[in-house]
Amino acid sequence: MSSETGGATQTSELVQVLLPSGDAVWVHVDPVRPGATLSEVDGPADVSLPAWAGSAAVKLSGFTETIRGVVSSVRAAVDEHRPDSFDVEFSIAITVQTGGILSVLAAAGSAAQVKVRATWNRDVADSRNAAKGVPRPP
Amino acid sequence: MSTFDVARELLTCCSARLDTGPDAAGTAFFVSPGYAVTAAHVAGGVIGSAVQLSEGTDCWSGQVVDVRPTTANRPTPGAPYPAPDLALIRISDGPEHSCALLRGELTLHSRVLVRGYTRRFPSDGPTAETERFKLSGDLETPCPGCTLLKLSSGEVARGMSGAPVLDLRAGAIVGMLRTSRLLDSDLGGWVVPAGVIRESWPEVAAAHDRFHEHDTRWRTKAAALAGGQLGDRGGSSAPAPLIGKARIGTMTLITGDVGTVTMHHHGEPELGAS
Repeated sequence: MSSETGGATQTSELVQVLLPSGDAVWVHVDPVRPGATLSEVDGPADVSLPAWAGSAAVKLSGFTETIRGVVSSVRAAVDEHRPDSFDVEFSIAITVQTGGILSVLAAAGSAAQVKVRATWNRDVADSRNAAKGVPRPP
Repeated sequence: MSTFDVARELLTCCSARLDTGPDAAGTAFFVSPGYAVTAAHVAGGVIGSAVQLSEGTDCWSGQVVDVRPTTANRPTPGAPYPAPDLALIRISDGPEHSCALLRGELTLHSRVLVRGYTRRFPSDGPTAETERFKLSGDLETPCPGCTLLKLSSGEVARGMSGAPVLDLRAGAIVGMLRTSRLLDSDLGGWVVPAGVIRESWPEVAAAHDRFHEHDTRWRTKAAALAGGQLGDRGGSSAPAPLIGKARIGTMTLITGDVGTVTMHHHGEPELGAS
């Protein structure tokens, strides 16, 4: 399977990946190096034979840690503002590098994106302020 | 025996599949009795790890005793390993083996043949694959004294890291393949010159020279290639004796500073009919 990347053709590979749950699934993974710029994607690559090139399912590294890290970080960032709820939206890319299959924040354009939406319920906020003796704004 | 058969036999007698654990594999080749080299990135850039080599029914056990450089110098995960990207393996157990004849002189557009272990063909494990290339230039690296050779007009496949590169005219190993210039293309790859391998481990190079001084069978075999081009002649060469075998011995390894590597080659045996 090939995809166009910055005008150059890049070949993805079909790899059997072992999820943290223990289930094995087949996924198309792109040989994109974490941290690589667009121009580096199709550049030189060392050619050892990693486990993912074999027939056995390969453990997916970093999947749980990536999700937990992003959600925890967002929650810590907005917690002092006490939103009634918040949504976090991000994408995870599954890429290959020497030594294994890696989960990384997917890039949209040239940078990884995390969208955060925090909401406050006006009634809940008013009752909370009233309990603290804070006057209601006009 | 065709020129291709001779070249393949030379490569086969010195190279082996390399397994470095559950995470990676590649190719290695014997350079002196009891010692083989591969790419540092195949060995994970770590000294001390146990490895297995295999070729046909022969199997060897060994240990990575030196890497140039170590992973501590690796700037970016996933980027090509820093130069020179070499690892030395000391064989601890296994049958006798032959040794590659290292020589570092190449001219532009020289034809070379590489033999590595890839997974191109679906099977339980890697299988041997050869590919012909043309020398198209060189590439200076930040590592002092280490200028890589650039190959073109051939495809470097995964698993060829650590594969020996045979000069089809001289019949000698001119370097070790380490990197593809672009996967899934015929743009070729990067080669660590034989001179850098020799200068990285002078004691191993000295043992290599002693081996080939006493055992002329590689040179006898290689003489069938002299002046020829792959595939354009064959059938006229009389079968040469079996390739030389070396006993696995012990050697004191004195590691040098890669910063002092030069491209000069000392005490190399001359090639030619003997």
